[in-house]
Order: sequence, then C-alpha cells, then structure tokens
Amino acid sequence: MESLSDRLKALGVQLGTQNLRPHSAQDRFPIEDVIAGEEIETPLGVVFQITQQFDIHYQHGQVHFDAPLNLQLVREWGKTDIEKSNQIDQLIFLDTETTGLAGGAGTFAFLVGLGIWNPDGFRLVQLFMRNPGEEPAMLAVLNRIVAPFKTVVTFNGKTFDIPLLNSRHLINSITTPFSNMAHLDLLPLARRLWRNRLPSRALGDLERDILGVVRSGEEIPGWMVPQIYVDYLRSGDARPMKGVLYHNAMDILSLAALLHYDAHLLENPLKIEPTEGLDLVAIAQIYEEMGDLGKSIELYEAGLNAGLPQPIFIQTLHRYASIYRKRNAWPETIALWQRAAEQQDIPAAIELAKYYEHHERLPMDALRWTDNALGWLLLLPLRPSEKLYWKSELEHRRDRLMRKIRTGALEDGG
Amino acid sequence: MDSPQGNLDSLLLRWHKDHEISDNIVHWTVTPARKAVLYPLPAELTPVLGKTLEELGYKGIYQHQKLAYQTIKMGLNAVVSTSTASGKTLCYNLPVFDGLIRDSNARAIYIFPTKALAHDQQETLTQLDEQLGGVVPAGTYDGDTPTAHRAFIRSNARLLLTNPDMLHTGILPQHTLWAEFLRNLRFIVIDELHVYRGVFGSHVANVIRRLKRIAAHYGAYPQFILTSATISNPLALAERLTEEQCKLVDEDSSPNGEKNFILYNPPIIDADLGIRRSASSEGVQLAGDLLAYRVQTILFARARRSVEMILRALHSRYPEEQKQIHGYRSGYLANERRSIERGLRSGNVHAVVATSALELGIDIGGMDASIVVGYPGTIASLRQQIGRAGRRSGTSVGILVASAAPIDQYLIQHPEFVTDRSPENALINPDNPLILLQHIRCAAFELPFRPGEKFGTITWETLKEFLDLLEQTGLLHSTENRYYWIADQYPAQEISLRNATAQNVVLRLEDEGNSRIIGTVDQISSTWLVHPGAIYLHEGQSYLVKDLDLEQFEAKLVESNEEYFTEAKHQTEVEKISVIETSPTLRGEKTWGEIQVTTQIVGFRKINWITRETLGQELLDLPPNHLRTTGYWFTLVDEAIDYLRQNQLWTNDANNYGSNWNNVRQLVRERDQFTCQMCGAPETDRPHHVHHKVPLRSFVSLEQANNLENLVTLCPSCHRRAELVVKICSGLSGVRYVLSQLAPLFVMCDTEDLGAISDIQSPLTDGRPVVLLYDQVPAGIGLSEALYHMHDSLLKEALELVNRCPCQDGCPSCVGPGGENGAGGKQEALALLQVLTSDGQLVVT
Repeated sequence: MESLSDRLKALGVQLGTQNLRPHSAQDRFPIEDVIAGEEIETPLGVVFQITQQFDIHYQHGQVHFDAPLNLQLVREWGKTDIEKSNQIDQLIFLDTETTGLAGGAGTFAFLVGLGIWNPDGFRLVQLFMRNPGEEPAMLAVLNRIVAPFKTVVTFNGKTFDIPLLNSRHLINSITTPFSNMAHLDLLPLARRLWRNRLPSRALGDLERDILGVVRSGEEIPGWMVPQIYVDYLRSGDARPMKGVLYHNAMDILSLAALLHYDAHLLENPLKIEPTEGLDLVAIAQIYEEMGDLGKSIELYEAGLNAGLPQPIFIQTLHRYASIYRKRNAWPETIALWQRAAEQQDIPAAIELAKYYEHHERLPMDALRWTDNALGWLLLLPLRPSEKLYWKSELEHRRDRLMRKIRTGALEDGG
Repeated sequence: MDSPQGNLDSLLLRWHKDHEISDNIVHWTVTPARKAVLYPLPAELTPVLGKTLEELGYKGIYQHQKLAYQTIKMGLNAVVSTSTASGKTLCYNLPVFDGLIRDSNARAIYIFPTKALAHDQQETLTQLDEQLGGVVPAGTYDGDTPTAHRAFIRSNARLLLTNPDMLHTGILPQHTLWAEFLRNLRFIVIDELHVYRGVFGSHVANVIRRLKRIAAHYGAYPQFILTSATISNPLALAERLTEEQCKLVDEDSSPNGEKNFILYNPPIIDADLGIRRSASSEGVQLAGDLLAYRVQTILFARARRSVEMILRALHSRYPEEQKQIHGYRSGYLANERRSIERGLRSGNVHAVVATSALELGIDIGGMDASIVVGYPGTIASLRQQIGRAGRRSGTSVGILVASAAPIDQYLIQHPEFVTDRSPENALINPDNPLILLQHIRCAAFELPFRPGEKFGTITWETLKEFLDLLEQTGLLHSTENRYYWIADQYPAQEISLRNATAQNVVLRLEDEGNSRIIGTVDQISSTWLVHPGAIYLHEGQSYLVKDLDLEQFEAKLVESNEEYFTEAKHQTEVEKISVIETSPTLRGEKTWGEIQVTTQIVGFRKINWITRETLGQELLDLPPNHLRTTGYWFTLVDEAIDYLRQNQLWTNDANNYGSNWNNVRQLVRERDQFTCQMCGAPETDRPHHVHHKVPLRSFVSLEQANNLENLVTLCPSCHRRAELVVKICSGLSGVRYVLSQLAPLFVMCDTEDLGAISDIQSPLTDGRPVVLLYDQVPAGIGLSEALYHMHDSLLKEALELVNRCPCQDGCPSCVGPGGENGAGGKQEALALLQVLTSDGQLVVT
C-alpha cells in the first residue's frame, strides 16, 4: 500500500518532509533540569510554573522599586477605569511569548509572565507549557492568579497579548478573566512621550535608553523566540528556553519599572535629571489635553528653555501660543509668534500679519511681516512645491494689503 | 418601448414564414403561458414578517417558497432548484427572517459566489429589514469591506453576506473574533449552488467542512438552504457540498408568459468542409430584426471581444439608436453598469450585448428576447441566459444561435435539455488528496484536532495520516490528545480556492528597468503557456516570454509586437498506476483507474496571426510534467477490430508507396538536409523517415500523394507521432475528438478540464487500441469516474451526433477537422461507435 506521503509526492506536492521526530533520550533536557520550578496541578491538567521573588529594595536600571508611586496621572491619561486601578497592589503585569506573529487562531502563547507587587517586594511568576497540551491548565492557573486583580498592565497588550489570550480561552472553551478587568497599556503613553526623542519605542529600547538597564548574555532577541520553542518541542532539549525565560522575566521587570518611571515623570517632570526638552514639551501637551493649562505653560517654557531641535522648537511655540490665543491673551501670543518669526518661520509671520491687519488695523505693519516672509522665502531651503505655495499665499496677501493701504490713504486724504 | 408584445408576435409570425430564417430553425418550442398558483403566507409566520410582506404587496407565495419554508421549519436542509426569475431568494429569506425575528440572538450567513451578487442582495435585504423596523441588520463582509467597518459588522450584523474566499481567508482563521456570531449561527444560505463544481466546488466543500467544525466548537449546528439553477443533480451536489441530508424543492408555481425557444443553426456555406455562416453575424441579423420591431433584446456572447464586435455591428446598423444599445461586461465601471441595469428595467435601453457577467442574479427585470450566440459552456448558463427573456405575462423568445462546435451541433438537436430536463451533472471531489491536504492544514490552524475526530466524512484513520504527515513537515506538534499548529504561518493566505495545487508561476513584466507582476499561471500549465519564446496573451496585449524559472516559479515577460503566436509541441505518454473499476461492455471493455500522464514540451512553432503560416520552429529543453490523475478508457475486442478491418474501416495497415518510392524518399531527405523537420534532429546511422502530410490513401493517384510538397523528412519518433495523428483521425481519433467535445456537457466542465488521448497500441491495455479521457486535475475531481459510469449513453449520444452531422468526411462539428492532418475519418468513427453500441450481428460487407 502506497503511503500518503508517497501518493502526495506522486501528485506533485512538495512536502519538504524532514525527519523531525525527537532525538535520542540522552539529548533530552527537560525544563525541570534547566530551571527551578514546580508542576501546578489543575482539573484541566498540569503546567510548569517558575516563581522569583524580588526584594522590596530591588533596583531595575535607575528605577527603585521601593520609591513611592502615584498612579493618578498615568491612569487619567490612559482613561483607565479609576475605580478598578486604585491601588498598586491591584495591578498585575503581564507579558506573553508566542509561537509567532502570523496572527489568527493558529498562534498561541506558550509562556505567560506575570508580575505582582506584594508586601515583600515584587513577585514574578512564569507559566510555561512544556507542550501545547498544557494550554488548558496554563489558562486555568493564569485565571486563578489574575482573578483577584483589577487592572492588567501590558506593553502593546491592547492589540497583541490580551486579544491573543482571549482567543486562546475561546479555543479552549474557558471563560476569559480579562473582559472584567481594566487594562493599562504603556505603549501608547511611551509613543506620546518619546515619539520625537527616541528612534524606537520598543520595550527593549526604552529599557536601555530610558531605564538604563543592560541585559545579560542570556538574552534571546524576541524574533528568535518562536523558533526556539518549536525546536524545543521537536528536540526535547529545553536548555535554550532559559534565554527565553530570562527575556520574558526582564520584560516583566521593565514593564513594572517603566510604570514607575512614567508615573514619576508625569508627576514631577522637572525633577528628572538630566532635563530633556523634548520630554518636557511632550508632557506639557499631555497636561494641556488633560486641561491643566497652568502646568502645561510651565512645562512649555521649561521645554523651550531646555533646548529643542529647530522644527520641534517652532512647533512648540505655535502650540504654546495657541493656548494664549484661545484665551485672547494677545501680548503673550504675539511674543511667542515673534520668537518663531525670529527663526524665519513663515507661518508665524503670516499669523503676525493677520493680527496686525485685523486686530490692530495696522496694514503697514502687516505688510512689513508679509515682506519679511517673502524675503525669507528666497533664503530658506524649502521644496519647490512648498516655496510655490507660500509665495502665492504671501503675494496674494501682499496685493490685498497694498490695495487696502491705497484705499485707506484715499480715505484719509478724503 | 411602445407596445412590444404585438410587435414580437408579428415578428415571430414573419420569421415563421420567411424561409431565409425558418430554414435555419432546427427547433421551435412554445411553452404556453402558465398562471401563478399562489398559496397563503404560512400561518405560523411571525406576525410582523407576515404584515411586512403584505405591505410590500405579497398576496401569497409560490409552491417552492412554501415548501422551502416548511422544510426549514421541520428542521431539515433544503435545496431549491427552479427556473430563472421564479423567486428563489424568498425561499431562503422567508425562513431566515422568520427564524431571526423569533430568536433575537440567531445569526445567518449568506454565501454568494461573487462580491457583486452579495452587494446586489445587500440592498434588497436592507430594504426588507428597514420595512421590518431594523431587527435583522445585514452586513457584507468581503475583501472590499473597509477595515474600520469590520469590527462593527462582526458584532452587529445578524445576517452576514460573504463569499467562499472571505470565509476561507478572513473569517475561519480568525474565528475567535466571530465567537458570538458563530455560537448563534442558525442558517447557512448557499446561493447559486451550481457554480460550486469542479476544483472550486471541491475547495468550497472543504470550506464548509471547516465552517461546520468551527460552528460545532461553539455549539452551533446550522441548517442549510441552497438554491441552484437547473442542473441534473442539484440534490446530490447539495448533499456532497454540505455533507448533510437535504430535501429537494423543485415544484415551481410561479407564473410566466408564453415562451418561445428557438434553436437556430446558421446555414452551411461550404458543404464539403462543413463550414457554416458565423454565429455572431447571424445573431446580429436576428437582433436587428428584433430592434426593428422594437422588441427589447439581450444578446449574450462568450468573450469580451465578441461583445464589442457585435456591439459595433449593431451600432453601425442602427446609428440613430446608438444610445439605446449598450454593451455590458467585466471591465465596465460599476456606475456605468448600474445605469444600464436601470435602463433595462425602465425600457430606455433597447438592447444590451453582454457576457455572462449579466447572467448571475443581477436584477434587470424581464426582457422580451434573449439571443445566445454560441453555447456558453454549460446548460445551466444557457438556461439562465435564455431565462433572461420572459416576463410574468406576455410572449417572449429565447434563441440559441449554434456555433460550429460539436457541442453546439449536438445541442441543436436537443431542445429538451433547455426546456425540460438538464443533462448536466455538477461534480465535485472534496476528498481529492491535494485539495484535502490544503484544507486540513487550514483546519488544524483553526482548531487543534483531537484523536477520533472526523473532518467532514473523512475518517479519523485517514485524517490521522494527513496529520502525521503535517507533523513530519514541522507544521504540527502532537501530544497524546491533540495536534497543535506550531508554525508561524497563516495557511489560508497561500491557498487559492481556484487551483488544485498551491504552486503558481508568477508572470513578471520587465519594462525598461521597472518590473511588475501581471498575473499568474499554475505550475502545471506553465511549461505549456509560458515556455521561453512563447507569446503569451493577457488582456489583449501580447508578451514575449524571455525566461521561465521553475525553481523560483517565475516567468519573465516583455511586451511584444510580433505578428505571430506560438503553439507548443508536446510529447505525451500514459502509464497505468492502478485499476479502480473495470467491466466488460458491448464488444469491448471500459476501465476507470489511476494513471500518470507525462507531458513534455519539446518545442514550439511560430505561426503568423493572419496567414496562419508557420514562420519557424524552435526546440525546448524543459523538464517533463507528471500528472497523476484518474482516467476512464475503453478498448474493443479483436472480433470488433477484425470486423472493422475487413470492412476497410480500420486503417492501421501498411500502405503501398509505389515503385519509385526510394528515389522520392532520397530527394526529400536531401531537400530537407537530412534533418527532422519537426524536432531538428540530424540523421545519424539510420536514415530518417519521409512522411505524407496528407495521407496516401486520401489520394486517387500515387503521383499526387508523392508530390514533394506533400512530403517531409521526420525522425522515427516524430514520424510515429505524426502517423498517430493521421491514423487516429480515422476512427479512434474521431471518437476521441467527439467524446472530448461532448463529455463536458454531461459532467459540467470546460473542454480543457478533460484530457483526451487515443492510441492504437496503448500501454493501458497491453497494446490494445484505446480511447482515454482523464481529469486534468491531479488525483481527479470525479469527471472520469462519472464518465465511466455513463459510458454506454455517452457513446450513443456521440454516435447520434456524428450520424446527424451533414458533413462529408468529418468536420470540426463532429469527429474533428480533416484538412492538413488527413481525412476526417468520419466513416471509421461511425463504424467504431456502432460496433460499440448496437448489439446486432457483425456482418462483413
């Protein structure tokens, strides 16, 4: 009888069959021999759990875990259900390692790392599936651990980790605990804070650039993780998993540290050393959106004084000016536009021209700003299309002002 | 248009009397008008639905609508097969809306074969729902649905309109997003069932297996409602597709006016060659008459190009009516199409020339006349196109203008296929291992398989073989109680529901440093269509193939303005793998079995577009293509061969070439420089053969036959093939030709879906003569199996077709053209078919 694979090959299927069955028994290194942990029993089977306790005085990069922590602003910004995330001990940190990024029902999380603050410090729990058959048990233990908490804290968990875990619950016909929890995702906040300052807002990069953490040689880069797990399933050799567990543990610790850092930064942005102008104006904008204009003005000033790259400097002046403008605080507004105009900023010159034309009724002054801007146009390194746009805009304005001045002169004369 | 009815009646009368027309009318069937039989709306209908339908003007429902409703109410699955425009959509809308109003959680999926049909239906459904007060929100979910709307549709739509492809790539692999929807899935509606046949249907059957499996995971076991155009086996197809027991509903009590059905055969203009006047010019003629009598007409043509040609002809004939005569085909913009559809409904558009794009579902109201130029490929299509003519009352006419193709010529003798029973069996083979493998991959991705589980009707034992194989390839990991998907892949993305094999060759156009992909061809056809040097036609532009890389699966093309096309030359060999079933037939034996067909493209000819003259030949060195598939073949007993031979109807015996043959032969070889004129091989130790292009026995005098023009040098292997072509034209080849043209009618496929080979000495039967038909899809999709079972009737129909053909000695309409390959062999084919079908005594004359 012809085997199925022979039959399919004869039909022209390229199977790429490799002999991937487990290696000999001597090659097998179960996870138990690689890292200390325990087998947790549930009605749905068993799963492997690794627990580490970090001292209350643990320091992760520049973050001290025992420093006081006020979550008020982070919560407010993230619009997290305040009721649910009142207390630090009601937070649970979560990060998963998965079999890939392809998405859909075929991807699962084989490792879930969880972090909890308790009276003794920080407890890190990792649930590891020694084979995919342990998934129901892993979800059961996960649910048991998560149940008492009100808020889950993740990094990009809103798009990735939590939908994935919800999907796994559905596939295993187990009720997900996350639909009743608040969710604080630190990625959107990181994007807001460091969009302009850092080339990447990935957790690993923030950890290095913001928290000042250096990972050890054990670290496995995230993109290698799926392949390492698949290799482990085939070979039974769990030794390379050690690096994956380390990677996941560091992610959880950095997540907790980042929350500390973010909370502190939002609360006391001026006390962070060294002062980063870009961080200050990013926070100023956050305060502005939350309606604390006093604080946001203070931070815009501080940001402008701390030094900013040219385009951000101009952008900030406009944004800052608009706060005053909305309140019709014209002298402050004018001053800020003028600061921008000192940098030969054409939009600022146009704002000034408009102001003098319509508010002060001083077409001559308006004309001066228009002419200034037309002058800059010759010097500024603009794209031809931009140049054309501003040129037509300014000349149009100039013509109108000239007409106005002429008619005005006639009227005056009359 | 004003008073078309009286006009049509007088035109029909004129055609009847006018010999120019009536002489070409082979059949004229009049189906008398039928009054509607209305049944009251079912008493158990939810009151709000009954009330709404009354408000919408429903005074009752037709019998099939009533039966469909009752069937679903009883918890059964229904397949509705009634004529075009009989109100099939209400057959599912009635029970579905009823069910969805009763149970406010219940959901339904409507599966349409095309996006356009779903969009067309969405409007109707939304209107119905608005009338109902917005209780059953409908949403279309397909490739065009903006990402921003998708989440909303997932959580809000209770009636989802989609297509098999979206189900396959977008919904099933993401089923957890649809958990709520699937948990409450009550109905699956499959519209235009007859479209799901062949490779596509076999794929869709597996998509249904996956859908049922996932629904069951969420605890849902939905009912099926299917609708089909008229085919011979709607029930069998529905049951094979859904793997559920279904109840057939085909009692139709909808009304229609008097229907005329005319089979029109263009007159013969060359009796010897059997050449008829072209179907499109006759179609234009008839359409012209209808327009002159102000009868609203739809004219169907097969190809987009013929649509434009016919349109141009009509425009030049009726310049003042240009604005009322439109074309309609893919490639027209959506709003252009909508405006034509409206114009047809309102009567502002007098005539439309369309491709099958207008055939499915799209509402244009009833026309007065429909002209179908050439058989559209399936009886179901033909019926749908003809069915475009016909209103609830009043006379209508549908005309098939036959082309010269054998199938057209056969059909023209069988009006009952259109007016009465359809001969078509729509076939699928969901268990084709290639197709199955692809869907087991997808299913394993969607939900881990458990030991003992089945996949549709696939047993655990078979399923396990597939799963173990997938584990060996690294896609799955098994534990004692599950097979888990572990690869970082999304398998549905790389699996097309249109191809049996996943591998396609990409056509890359190189254009002055830029390169872009203009299409794909499947790997099996690639050596045939895009071999190096081939001219490949795509959207009317011709391209020259520079290179074919079968490792990278890519062909490089450049635009070409060459005035030739290319024709690949191939060598085909058949090998028997195993016999599945065999049985004796009258004076012969038929077999259904597994075979391997090895085809090698050895070279190609360049042929001038206009003069058809061969401009040159080139050799190719391409790897052979192995097609492992199922085939049906038959042979005949020695007694029958002897009989044919004795009656000189078996031409496989040696010829007398004349006394001076050796000289002539030497002359021809010298002229051809001792090289084979087909493959270019030079002579080695043995002289090449000299071949008669037109066979010797076709000539009265040897001088004519041995004319140098008629002789060509060929190497022995090319000669064998050339001889084969000539010989089988006499008899076996004729039978092969007619069967390959006729069989698609019964198994509802394209002629390209069936391979056909005849061989005087076939390895399939230890050297006996054979005619073989085989599935062109690896492992087969059931065509040859069905043909094996209908062997007797197939041969009888072939005999009748050849018998009735008025040609002298073979033509494209029966046993194939004579001409350059030699005589047609009509007498031989007829004799062969007679021997195999009529059980009278064989008498040597």
